[in-house]
Amino acid sequence: MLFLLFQVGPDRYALEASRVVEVVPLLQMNRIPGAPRGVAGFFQYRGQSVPAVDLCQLALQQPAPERLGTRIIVVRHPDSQGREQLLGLVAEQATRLLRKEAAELAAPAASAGISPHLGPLIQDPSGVIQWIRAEHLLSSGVRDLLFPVPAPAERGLQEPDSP
Amino acid sequence: MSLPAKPADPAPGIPAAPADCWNRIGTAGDGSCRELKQFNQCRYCPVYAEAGLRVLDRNLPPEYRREWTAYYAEKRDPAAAGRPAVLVFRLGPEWLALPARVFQEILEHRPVHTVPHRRNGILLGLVSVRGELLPCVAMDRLLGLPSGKPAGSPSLFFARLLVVSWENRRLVFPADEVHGLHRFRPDELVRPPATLAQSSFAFTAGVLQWQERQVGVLDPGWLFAAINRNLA
Repeated sequence: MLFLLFQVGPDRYALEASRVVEVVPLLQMNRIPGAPRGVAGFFQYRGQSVPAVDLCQLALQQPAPERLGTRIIVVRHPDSQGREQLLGLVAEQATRLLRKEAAELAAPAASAGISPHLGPLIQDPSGVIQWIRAEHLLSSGVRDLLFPVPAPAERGLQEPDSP
Repeated sequence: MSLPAKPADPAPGIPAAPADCWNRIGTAGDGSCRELKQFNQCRYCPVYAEAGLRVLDRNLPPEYRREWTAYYAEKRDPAAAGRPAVLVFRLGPEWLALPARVFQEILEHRPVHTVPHRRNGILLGLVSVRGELLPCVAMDRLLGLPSGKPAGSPSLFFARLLVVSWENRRLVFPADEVHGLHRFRPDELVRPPATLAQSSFAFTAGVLQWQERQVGVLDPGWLFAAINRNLA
């Protein structure tokens, strides 16, 4: 399995590379007034508005530093209907890939019971890396805020309910 | 852009690299580093790679966010990928283009070694490219272009040597300026008027409108045939 490594403050994390669409530089954000903590805003990505979550803000209560190594990782995240939507994750040092076989992964840490997005730990010579399951990163409240469910009337027009 | 005077603390998990060890005990130094047995060259050593990544540990240059925001806001045109690409360059007053696949390398200006008894014709001399001597050809002479620079033209700073390859023939020609790649729709390529007798049009497959300029797209087959005849 191929992982994209990144950092949030001093901690190292990994995302499964197959969920990553693209890693883009730190772009300008349109902030959302009153958005929950960690939501950095929307950015324009190839003709569409994509919401972004600042992982540093989420984990460390301070925004990601404006450095060249700080990137937006564009991942696919399911909305409440199970459709894949684009989501940006602002993270530091998103510059490296790591290949690990599934057998080499340690069992999920004790923290896995706390949050569904924490996967097994990955060992490498300089320590452990926490695998983040991007598809479980957003709580359902934040997810429905960022990927609003279309109103029933609107949905009826666009896609008739399947039996 | 310059590195900060004092590099930030290395991220955890990164072996604390002695600053520029490669210059002291590595390949560029006295070669006493014991890691060299394993990696042979500093460039294969993870310490060196980590130091390279630390270049990214800098503040954003001004305008960085604005420029990239404009770039990524553009919708990607899926049709563009299939369009033919040409490299646009300038010879004297004329903007010309050749298919991108013809080009192998674009080099900074470097000395051209003249060849005795070959002072006429289009051969300017030989140029060393990665240890290989390649003929350097005056494309403007072949095309019959005026050699003078247009008014207010840029200096040698923009001049480049273009390494091209066609049917196993590699050669180099100087250009006064290189714009870069340009993709076009096939219907944008206009056939040159048949009445034009100017010799540069003899090799022209068509004319493109590009940034309010006319770019002559050269046909590599005809062009290289003429070069080969001239060099033979």
